[in-house]
This record gives sequence, C-alpha cells and structure tokens, in this order.
Amino acid sequence: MLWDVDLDVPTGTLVGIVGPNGAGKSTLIKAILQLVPVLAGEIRVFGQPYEKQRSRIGYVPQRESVDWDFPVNALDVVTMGLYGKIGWFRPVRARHRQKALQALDRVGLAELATRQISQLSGGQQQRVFLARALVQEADLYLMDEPFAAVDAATESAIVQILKDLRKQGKTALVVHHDLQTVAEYFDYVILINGRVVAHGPTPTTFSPENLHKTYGGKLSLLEEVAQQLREKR
Amino acid sequence: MTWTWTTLDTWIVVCAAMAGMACAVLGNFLVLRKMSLMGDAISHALLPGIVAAVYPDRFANELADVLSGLPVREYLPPG
Amino acid sequence: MQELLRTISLTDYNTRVVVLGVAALGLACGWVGTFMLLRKRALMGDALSHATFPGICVAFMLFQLIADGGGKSLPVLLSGAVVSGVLGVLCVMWIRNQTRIKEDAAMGIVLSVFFGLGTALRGIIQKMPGSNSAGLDGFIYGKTASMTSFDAWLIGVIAMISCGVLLLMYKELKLLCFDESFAKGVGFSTTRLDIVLMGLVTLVTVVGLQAVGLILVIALLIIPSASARFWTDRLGVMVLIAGLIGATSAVGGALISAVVPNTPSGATIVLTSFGCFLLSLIFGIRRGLMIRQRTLRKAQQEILLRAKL
Repeated sequence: MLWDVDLDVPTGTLVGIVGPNGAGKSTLIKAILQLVPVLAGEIRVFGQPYEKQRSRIGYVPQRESVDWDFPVNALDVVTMGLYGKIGWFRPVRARHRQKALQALDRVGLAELATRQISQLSGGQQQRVFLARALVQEADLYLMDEPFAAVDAATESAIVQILKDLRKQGKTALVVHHDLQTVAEYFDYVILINGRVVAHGPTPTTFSPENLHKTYGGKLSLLEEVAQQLREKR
Repeated sequence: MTWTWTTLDTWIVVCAAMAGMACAVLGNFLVLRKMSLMGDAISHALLPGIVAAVYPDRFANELADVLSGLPVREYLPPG
Repeated sequence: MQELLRTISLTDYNTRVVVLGVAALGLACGWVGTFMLLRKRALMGDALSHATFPGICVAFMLFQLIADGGGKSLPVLLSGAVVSGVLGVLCVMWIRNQTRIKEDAAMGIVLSVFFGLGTALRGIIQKMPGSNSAGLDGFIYGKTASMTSFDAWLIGVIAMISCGVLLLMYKELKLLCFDESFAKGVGFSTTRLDIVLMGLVTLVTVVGLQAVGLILVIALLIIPSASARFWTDRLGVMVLIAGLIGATSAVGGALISAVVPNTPSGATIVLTSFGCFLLSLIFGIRRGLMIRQRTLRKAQQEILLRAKL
C-alpha cells in the first residue's frame, strides 16, 4: 500500500527511487504499469494515459520474479521484449532475433546467446533482463532493483547503459537500495516510505534531513552516508 | 427393509469418528506446510500395496496372466 | 496370438481409427501439459478431471429420463463433463482469490468434494430402474475398447483443434509461463491467455476421459512433459518431445489394453508413459541421471587434477 503519491518526473533524467524495505518502491513501478490496482488518482505517461503509451515503456522486473529453470536460452528471453511489437498470433522472425542479438551484444553477452538461462550468473541474468528492455526501444524505462546482488562488472555495465540512455534523451526510473551510490548514479531522486517523503534533483533532495525523514533514523548506515554527503559538498 | 442398530454399527461409527479426528489433526500441518496434496499422493500410492496384500495369490496369478498375455513370455526363462 | 496380430497390425477399420484418435489425444495432452507444467499449474488438470465426474452422472441421469435408455451418447456426457469441470476450476480460483487458502489446498477440497458427489450420484444411478451404470465406469478408469469410430473421430478432431490453437498462440503462452508481469507490461492480457490455456486443458481433459479415465488423465498431461524436460533446454523441442511421448504412450497403452484381458486402458496408458518417464530420467541427455553423474565425476576429476598441479 502506497499513499500520497503526487509527483512529476522530468524527461531525459535518471531517477532513483529510494526507501527502506517494504516502503512501496516496487509498488510504485507496478502501479505505473498497472500491474497492481490504483485505488485513487491517475498516472500519466508523457501526458497521456498508460494504455496509449504502453509501447514507449520498457520494464525490467526483479530478477527473483521468474523461474530461471525455464527451458529457454538468453536470446529467447531478449526476443520476448519484441513480442509486444510483433503482436498477437504473429511468429518471431529472423530479423527479430537479429535485433535481440544486437541488444545482447550491447550488454556484453552476445557469446552467451544460446546458453540456457539457469547457467548464467546472477549478474548475467540481470543483464539479459536489461537487454530485453533495451530491445523494446522505449522512451521510459522502469527498472526494479537492477543492482540487487550483482557483480561489479554488471553494475558498471548497467551504469554505462543508463548513461547512454540519458544521452539519447530517455528517462529511467530505477528502484535502488544502495544509498552510497545514489548521488553518483542519479540526477533526480524520489524518497519513499509508505508515501512520497521528498522528490527533486539529487543535489538538493538527497540530504541528510530527508533521509532521516525517510528512514526514521533507524539505520546506523545513515550516519555514514550523511558524513559522505557533507564531505562531498 | 428393516435395519437394527447393532454393536458392530457402534464400532463402525466410533472408528469413523476417530479416523476423522486423526486426519483433521494431521491435516492442519499439511495445509500449513503447503503439502495438502501429499495426502492425495500417499493414498493413491497405497492402492497397489492393498491389492497385493488382500489377494496375494490372485495378485500373483493376475500378474502371471498379464505377463503371459504379452509376448514377453517368450523372453522369460522357461519354468 | 491371432487376436494379438490382428490388433497390432491394425487390420480393423475401428482399431485403426481408435489408435489414430488416441494418438492425437496423447499429442495434444503432451503439448498442453507442457504449458501447464511450466505455468506451475500441473495439478489443475487433476482437479478439473475429478470435477467432471458429477457432471457426467447428471448428464447421464437427465438423458436417461428424457430419452429412455439412451444415456450413453458421448457428446451429451462430455458436455455435462465440461460444465462441471469448468465449475470446479472456477471454484478453485474463487477459493484462492477470496480466502487465504493456498491453491493446492483449494484443489484438494474441490477435487475430493466433486469426486465424492459424483460417486454418490453413481450409486443413485445404479439403483435407477433399467439403467446400466457400466458405461460410467469407462469414464472413471478409461476404456478404449468401448470406443466407436465416431468417438475416436470426435477425440481426434478436438485434439487437433487444441494443437492448432497452441501453435497459433505459442509465443504468447511462452511469455505468459515465463514472465507474467512482463507479458502484462508489453500489453498481452494475461487473464485472456490464462483462460485460453485453461480452455485447452478442459478440452483435452474432457475428450481424454473416455480413453484414460478421469482418475488417471492427469498422467497424460504431466508425465510426457516432465519426461521431455530431461532431454532438452529449449521449449520448442520440449513441446515436440512431450507430444511424441504422449502419443506413443497413448497408442501403446491402448494396444496393450486391447491385447491383455481385463486391463482398463487408463492403467496401461499410465504405465506405458511411466516407462517413457523412466527411460528419460535415466538416459535424458540434458538432465538425466547418467549425464548428471558424468558431469559430476568430470568436475571431481578436474578438481583432483588441479590439486595435484
């Protein structure tokens, strides 16, 4: 359950969604995608209702949300990103696979295209999901914890791709849990704990006071982050 | 059709009630352990054993019949 | 021996049609079963098939009353089966969505209650004057021997239709089974896809009742697809192999049941498919026991080798 969400996100920025566990970070993303019911209020994407803009949204779900034992290979999963564009009943063609292979190459996994997905490492699985969203060629990307439990190589690969996306004028909303890297990765930040505590450009919004309001001063880690923030200034 | 209640009927009802209680008690744990259908699997798996236990001779004969009906007989050792 | 040869060489027109019919059924069950297995709803087919029983009995009774003694028309019995089967599935979904009871418990409730109701109704039918409940037992245990060529055609055509729908929606169902929320995200209605999948399961289960029987029809949905997983890591190949195993075991079981006296075809079909499962479990080239042993040993040797160096 998430209350009092009233926010506008500027286009062409990388947006971090930050908050403690159970704060409703994933729920916010799922609400935009209409995967969970919105009880009151409305969500507009590029000024229009979601249904009209569906093809402009790319989605990276949490890695644990699927069964990685499923009998498909990496290329199959990436190709799934094109299913919406291909449409009902039409088969997948060679040019679709070609496109998917390019996306896999972009995340550095082209040589693992035919590997069964359970034989990929956690970070590689995350990159497959990212490639699947890239192949959607969306303008808005919604990513649910893409940095959760990934190796350093994957983390830097994802960051590089996020920066590329920003260069192309695209927007990405990223659920993030690592406070240490927020200031480094994102231009804009949304702090959530059951409701939106604060939102705005990272330099002004990601402040010790707002973090205290979000986390209630429970984390000892908070002090560390606040210290680092002060040092940076 | 006349029907009189006998001691045997009492025992039948008591047995049914006790079996019901035992199952209900165990059932709690099955549901909580998310193994509800385990009981189903076990009860179905009992069937061949019951058949073999109740009719040992007939079971053996039937098995022999089934085998003799198939061409496998020719591959079995003589005797 | 004469009889055996005549059955196996498919001399009779009737035998030939029945064999083709059950082959189509096995194929369709293998295909549909693969998607049910991957959707983690493998036992839904079991709840469904048990739930068809009271419907068959009611249809039998009604038809017995209307057309005296004509209670054995297959289309009538099967429509009764569809109605109560769908009702059973709806009950499972309702219990799961409205209460906190988990799906497996909901299925346990529905399948036992519906089957109990059916058993009670069968008892009443046996007492009904002039009616012969022997036809019903074929639905419980499966009896290919009682199939007419019309029945076989009906089964074959419906099975082929199911396969056609599955081919048409292969891509969508694959996405549904792998990642439901992503499917929604790219604009496929997962509710509609689930209804299509459940509809297909209903179709093949109901036409499969006569051949395999309602207690064991679940085997034809699960065992072929579970066996196929041992051989491959690709969904397309898995579907093909599951269809092949399904068809093989259905035909093999039907023939064995025809040759060996007093064996219901449901039992022989299940045992045949179990044979296929056992072979796949041991020799399957992707996940079989032998290949796993070999990779394990290889890894051990490598470790030992490295330790020596």
